Amino acid sequence: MDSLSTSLQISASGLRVQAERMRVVSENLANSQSTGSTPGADPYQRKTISFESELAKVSNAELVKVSKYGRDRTPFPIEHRPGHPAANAAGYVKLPNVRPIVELADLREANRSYEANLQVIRQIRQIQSMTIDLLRSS
Amino acid sequence: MDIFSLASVHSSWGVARQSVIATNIAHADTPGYKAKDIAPFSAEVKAANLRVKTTHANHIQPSGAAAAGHSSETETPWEVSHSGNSVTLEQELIKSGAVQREMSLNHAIVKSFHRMMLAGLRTQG
Repeated sequence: MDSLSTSLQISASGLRVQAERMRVVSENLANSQSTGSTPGADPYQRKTISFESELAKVSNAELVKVSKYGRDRTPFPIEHRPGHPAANAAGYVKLPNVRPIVELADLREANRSYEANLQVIRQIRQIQSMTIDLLRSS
Repeated sequence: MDIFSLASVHSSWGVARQSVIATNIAHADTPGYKAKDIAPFSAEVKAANLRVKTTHANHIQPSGAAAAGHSSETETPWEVSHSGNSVTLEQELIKSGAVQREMSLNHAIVKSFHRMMLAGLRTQG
């Protein structure tokens, strides 16, 4: 396998992990109001994602993959809502530790990384077609 | 070393560098990943000991080829994030654009030499 195809493979792995990161962000955003349903129950806990490098054995390329999905251990914010189904004896409800602004910043960053990978793919394709064009008699 | 083999070496250098840049960009968010780069093409040419032929005593070697001890530049990251990752997307995209331009120049040169050879063949026939 030539180097350019290997580069395409690497960029594709970059696209894959960034898409996975966007999935986690959208899960967090969608669940930013998900509280428990029984008194005193824990609400949705923010998910985190982490990456690591992985060596592809055939092409000897350093791909990127998801190393682990974690849980954010920030304490849950508490609000006084006595009528809520998840309210404890004192009337306090634990809310998810998702902060939309953080999620949106993360989403934007994932978007940028995704774009950068796409740009590399675009350039590799251009180089490939330039090389093929050498065969075309002008 | 003739122009075609030089272009071929330059081409494989460009492809190798593009592959390194692709790896860097893919790892833009991997904790602890250090951005990499390969030696510049001038170092490769020097390793191959490329010299312009001197067919006359008055010919002067170009300063680029004669300058000895031109060390391969070390990667200087623009910023290192808290997780120890030293990839900056802008820096990598600039490098990638540079490779792209160099490859396009290289291809244009090969194309024009190729056209020249074809023109020579046509006039003979």
